[in-house]
Parts: sequence; structure tokens; C-alpha cells
Amino acid sequence: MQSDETLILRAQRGDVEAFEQIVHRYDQRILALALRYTQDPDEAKDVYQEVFMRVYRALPRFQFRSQFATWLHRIAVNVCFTQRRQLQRRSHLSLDEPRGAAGTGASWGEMILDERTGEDRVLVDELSSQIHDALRELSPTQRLVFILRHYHDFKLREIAAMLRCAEGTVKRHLFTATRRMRRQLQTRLSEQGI
Amino acid sequence: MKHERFRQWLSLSIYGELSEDEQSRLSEHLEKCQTCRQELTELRRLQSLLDSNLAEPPPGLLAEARAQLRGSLRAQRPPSRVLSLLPPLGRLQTPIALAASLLVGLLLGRWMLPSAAPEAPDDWLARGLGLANIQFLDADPSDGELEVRFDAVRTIQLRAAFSDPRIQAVLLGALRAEGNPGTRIQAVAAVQEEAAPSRSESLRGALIEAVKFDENAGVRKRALSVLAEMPRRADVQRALIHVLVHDPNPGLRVAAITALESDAVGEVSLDQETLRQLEQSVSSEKNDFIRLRSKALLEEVRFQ
Repeated sequence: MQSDETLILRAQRGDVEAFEQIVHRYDQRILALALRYTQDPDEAKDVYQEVFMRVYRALPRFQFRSQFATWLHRIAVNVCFTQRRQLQRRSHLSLDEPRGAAGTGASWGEMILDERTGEDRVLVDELSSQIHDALRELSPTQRLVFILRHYHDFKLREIAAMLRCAEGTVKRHLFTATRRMRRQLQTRLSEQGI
Repeated sequence: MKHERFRQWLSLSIYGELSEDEQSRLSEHLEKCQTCRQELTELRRLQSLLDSNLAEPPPGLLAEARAQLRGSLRAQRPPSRVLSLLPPLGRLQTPIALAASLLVGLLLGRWMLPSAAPEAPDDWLARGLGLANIQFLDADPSDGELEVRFDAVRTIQLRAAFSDPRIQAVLLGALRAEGNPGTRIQAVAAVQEEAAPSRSESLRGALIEAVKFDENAGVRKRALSVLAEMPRRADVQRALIHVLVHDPNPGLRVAAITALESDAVGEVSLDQETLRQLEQSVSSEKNDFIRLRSKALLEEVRFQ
């Protein structure tokens, strides 16, 4: 398997196949991040699209000063925040409200379930739903910090660099997010007694 | 060291984010503190719970996303051509023009003028548009692009009949988008002064939105007083019940229950959803006065 660096250098020379390979190496993680963050398949696809189009445009200027994965996730973080602002600008759209004229009348939460229980044959069980709900209770920044640390295994100093804030701030976000997740999932934790 | 600090360290500890010294101090504390030991156990349970559910995105979703991306890439120039250095303005021009077209379109084109095509920055200056409220949505230049949002505004003075579509559009804009609550109140007051038949559906919708979602209690109160006078329809009734159940301001909740009481006295039927919400108000309302009135209303309606 070719290294990231080799693929990136090839892509920088205009090799579309190399670009596609590097995308496929990371895109599942980016889509997972987007899905956990936005909690909506359509929004997640928009984030995915925007992230890799930005990568495509910026890759010729990538100079290997950081790991490609870190750089890629930094772009993803920026896109997630931009997406969130765009969502906030939509008038009074909430997770529990119908999606509007073009929608099916199902709530945003139901759409997540529908999408994942449809032809994709991925069963979303009660636990997934509870974790979704718990993540939804976090602020956007807390949610991103928690997702990047717990699911994507980035170190807090790397997350701080992505968010352009102090590591102490990220620590506080992680602490608060963990505490809120624990509170939200308390019943489940007690039931399971894992 | 304070106990709270150790609690914070617990979260960091389970992710291996403590220094050796911090980890050692935490271990010492844990030997003495039953509460923190318990909390650490629960945090580990949380980790296990989350790790037991590491579902990846559905394959169909990934395939869709990849297909869309391929389509977009086909529409782009090959990367080798992107290598050619664009002048700095060239890189900035696209997002700025897009943002400008959005806002110019929103503020002017959509309300008053034919829709505006994207314009170059020089054109805005020539047309005397001022830039305000500039925000950097993406201030990170590492990917070679910035994203900005701003208002491109021109002052327009207009005097016309209330029913004039342009005046209606401005009222609608003021109700929905104006940042100054004083202006939003003025817009509601203007709607209130006008005879009911001329209120458009969109203005009615904007008033309902204001009652339910405006962050300013003064605006919500004024909009509520307009709605309360309106011919009762299901959407108005639902807005009133929304206020009764959700509004944090007890004065507004009292105004809502008063309006709903007049519906009951006037023998306007309350639909099933309204009744259900009313029951919720009776069970969750902390204010005795409002709860009792809600209860009385509920009984009255049921009696009917």
C-alpha cells in the first residue's frame, strides 16, 4: 500500500486516481464525524462533499507541515462549524420539527433512523438512538471535541490546534461533554451495569 | 488541591491525557476518595457503552457521498491546473461574490428589486453599497480559502400603502430578520394598527413565529396581543398554547390562558392537540395561578 505522502505527491501532480485513493482512505472517518456531528444524513453528505472539495482545491498547496489526517480533520472541523451556522440561519428549524415542504413530515430524529434502517440495512438499535440523543444535548463545540477525542482518537493538543484554541479550553469541553454524556446515559449505564 | 479539579482529571485520565505527575497525584487522591473512585468506575462504564456501539456510516450513504463527490470533481479542472497560482483576489473573489449575491439578493432583490446576479466587489462600491457586520465563517487560510459573511446594504426610504407588497415585504423582513428588538416591536405595532382583513398569510405566519420564538419578551408580548385579537384558527390556537406551555415569562402565559379562555367562553372548539397540550400545562405549570386557570379551562372545555 502506498503511503499517504506518495499518494498526495501523485495527486499534486494531477493524478486523479491517487486523489481518489487518498479520499477513500479517509472518507469513511470524515462521513462518520459529519454524521455524528450533524445527526442528519443529508447534512453529513453536504459536509463530506464540502470537505473533500476544499481538500481537492487546497491539496496542491499542502506542504506536509502536519499529518495529512490532522490537516484533513481541521478542514472538516471548519466545515462542520460553517454548516452549523448555516443551519442556525434556517428559520426556527429544530431537530423535532418537520423538515418543511420538501420533507416527508418526519422529524429530523426520525429521518436519521429512517435513513439508517432503510436499504442500507443498518439497524439502529435503541442504544444508538440514545447515544445520538445524548450527543445532541452537547453544544456544537463540546460535541466536536468529544467526537474527535472519543471516536477519532485525536489527542487534545491536536484538537486544540484544529479548533484554534487553548488546550485548557479543550480539556474543559471534554470534561463537560463527558459529564453530560454520562448524565444523559445514566439510565442505560445503570441498566447494563457494564 | 480542590476535589473538583480531581473530578476533571478523571475525564482526562480515562483518555490518557494526564501527565505522569498528574496521574500519580490522581492515583493518590483515588486511594482516599470513594466518590471519585465511584465516578471513575462510571466513566469507564460510559466508555464501554460507547465503544459497544461504534456503528460506521451506512454503506449506502458512503456510496452516495462518493458518487456526488465524483460528479463534482468531474466538473472541476484537473489538479495540475489548480497548481497554477491564482492571484490572491481571485481566490477570495468567489466566496465574497457568493456571500454578496446572497445578501444583496436577500435584502434588496428579494424584497424590492429584480433578483441581482453576483457582482464583483468593485460593482458594490460603484453602487454605493456599504459593508457591515462582517463575520469570518472560516478564517483558516490553510485550505487556501476564506469564507466571509457580511451585509451589503443601501439605505432606501419608502412611503406606500400598508397593502403595498414592498411595505409588506419590509414588515415581514423586520419581523423575521431585524436584529433590533425595538424595530421588531414597531413592526408588530404597525401590523396591529392595520385592519385585520389586510393582514397577509405570511405576516400572520411571521407573527406566530415571533410569538413562539422571538428571544425578546416585549416582542412576544406585542405579537401575542395582536394574535389574541385575530380570528381564531388552528395555527393561532397552537401558538397560544405554545406560549402557555413553553414561554418562560409568566405574564405571557397569563395572557395566553386569557385568550384561550375567551375561546372557550365564545364556544370556539379547542382541537385535540390543544387539549393535550393544555393537560400538559396543568401537570407541569409551576405557577399556581396559571395552573389553576388552565385546570379550570380544561374542565370547562370537557364539560362543553
